[in-house]
Amino acid sequence: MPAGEILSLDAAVADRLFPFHVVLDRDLRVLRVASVIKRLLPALVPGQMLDRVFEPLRPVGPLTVESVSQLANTLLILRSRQPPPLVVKGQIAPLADGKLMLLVSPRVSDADEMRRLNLTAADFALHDPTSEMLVVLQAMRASLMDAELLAKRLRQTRDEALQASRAKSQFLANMSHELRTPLNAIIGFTEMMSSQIHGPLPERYVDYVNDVGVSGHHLLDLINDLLDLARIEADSFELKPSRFQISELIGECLRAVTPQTQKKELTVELLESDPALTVEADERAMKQIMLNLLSNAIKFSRPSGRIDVAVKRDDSSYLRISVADHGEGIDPSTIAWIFEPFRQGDHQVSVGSEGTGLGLHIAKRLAGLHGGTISMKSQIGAGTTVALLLPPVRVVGVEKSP
Amino acid sequence: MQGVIYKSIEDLVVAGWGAETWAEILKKAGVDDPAFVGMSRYPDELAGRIVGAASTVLKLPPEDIMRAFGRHWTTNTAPTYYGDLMAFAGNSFLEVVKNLDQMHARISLIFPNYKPPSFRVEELGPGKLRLHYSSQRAGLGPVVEGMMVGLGDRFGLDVQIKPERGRTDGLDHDEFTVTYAQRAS
Repeated sequence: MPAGEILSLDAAVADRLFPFHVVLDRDLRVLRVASVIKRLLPALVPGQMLDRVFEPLRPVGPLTVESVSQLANTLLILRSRQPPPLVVKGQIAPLADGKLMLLVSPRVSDADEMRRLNLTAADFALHDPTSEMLVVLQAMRASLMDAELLAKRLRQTRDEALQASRAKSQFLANMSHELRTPLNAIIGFTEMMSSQIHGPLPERYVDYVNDVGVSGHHLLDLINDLLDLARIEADSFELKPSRFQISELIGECLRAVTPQTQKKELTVELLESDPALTVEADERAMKQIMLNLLSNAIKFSRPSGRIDVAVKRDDSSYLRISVADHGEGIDPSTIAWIFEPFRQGDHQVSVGSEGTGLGLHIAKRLAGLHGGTISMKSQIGAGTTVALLLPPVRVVGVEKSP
Repeated sequence: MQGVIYKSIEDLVVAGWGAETWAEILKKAGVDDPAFVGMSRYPDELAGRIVGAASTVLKLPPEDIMRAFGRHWTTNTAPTYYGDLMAFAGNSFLEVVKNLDQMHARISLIFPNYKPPSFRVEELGPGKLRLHYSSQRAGLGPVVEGMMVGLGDRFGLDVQIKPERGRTDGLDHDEFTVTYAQRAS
């Protein structure tokens, strides 16, 4: 080997080490072609000009003899001019005898490419990183398949869960209806007995009958709540929107809770309200929401306390109806889940509150059906403010009372 | 072990015995989350528990289950998830077997935590070879047996594989004699 040379390879060894190499003369004419690239591109035969077989993608412009000196330090990307479509990348190296060696390997951007070209591991030199690239591409594809499969399973599971939930809600709705019918009879006859319309009851039975009545009403409230919840969850709760003045509705609700406020000697103040403000909403649902907010405020007010009710439009034109008590307040961490069904704040338990644990949840769902929401702010020892927010579309303006 | 191994066992059991049987096996193996993610890693001992549970539920020796898994892996799971890599490994049974070690080694270059087995092939003559199998995990010889049979299926060959010597004989690896011939149509 002449001094200064470090590489002199037998043709078979060169073929194994560089299975995609091409030896060229100074005019870029093919002199020798390695076995694998010869198999892929039969047009690449000795005597053929390189640029008749390949179109250069990089560097841009024709492959010329003049440019060869610069090509030694340039990444070459070549595309075959004839089928099969093959893109190779690599470089040109000058050899000691004045010839040039094109050293390339196929570009792999897609795992399918190897299959299309019928290339196997045996076609690559062991030092060639193409195989690792293929492993990465295959792992990516496998991960994608996995993700798609998991997403499909999740969708199926969610659909099944939703279907089961709807079936449960439908069953609940049916059962609640069936339960309410006999219960109404029980309550009705209990009230009749309690009024002693058909003659006096023995004294000890008067208390019993009253207990039956109270329990019956509690059960009816529970069933009504369940029925509402079931309807909402089964998407069968249909809003019946009408136009009404919100102040009138609040007035009705305040009158309805007067016995409870009087019992605890509470003061209820209507702080701000435009008496002619009209909304378009389901009146019964609005009433249900307001009664729930008021009864909660009453429950958690201290005796002789105060409840503030305010109606106003906020900066975003939302209608905000707030009910604030000045009771014990709720721990802020409780607010995160207090709207969930069958949950009640710990403080409620501590003050011996009763309830189904559904009221706030239903109120929020009803607000949601109107495009609104219910928010809660509280401070331990200072009280709780619960606000119903209705979107501007629900506020139809100011109408005079008929 | 990679999650795809467990998914393959799941596919095998569900295809052969149904989803309820697979659920029963997982329950018996104490697996809480039944959804395996292909590229995630799971403890090796889990495979032992699942094979043990499958053996009890299916009333089959663990070796038979491992052989069935090995064959299922090569004929179903690998072509589905790693079809291009399988094709890249070679166009004939012998070529693929001879490239097994290189392919596993390259996978370990990309995934350094992967502990791949190693294979060495001694050609004993036409249609016959000796396979040297080394693994950090003991007792998986039957899986290799199933994989060779499955590879034969891929190329339409009948493959017979016989364990010759192994760790129980004091070697640091297992040796199998493999014979393969075109399958009579």
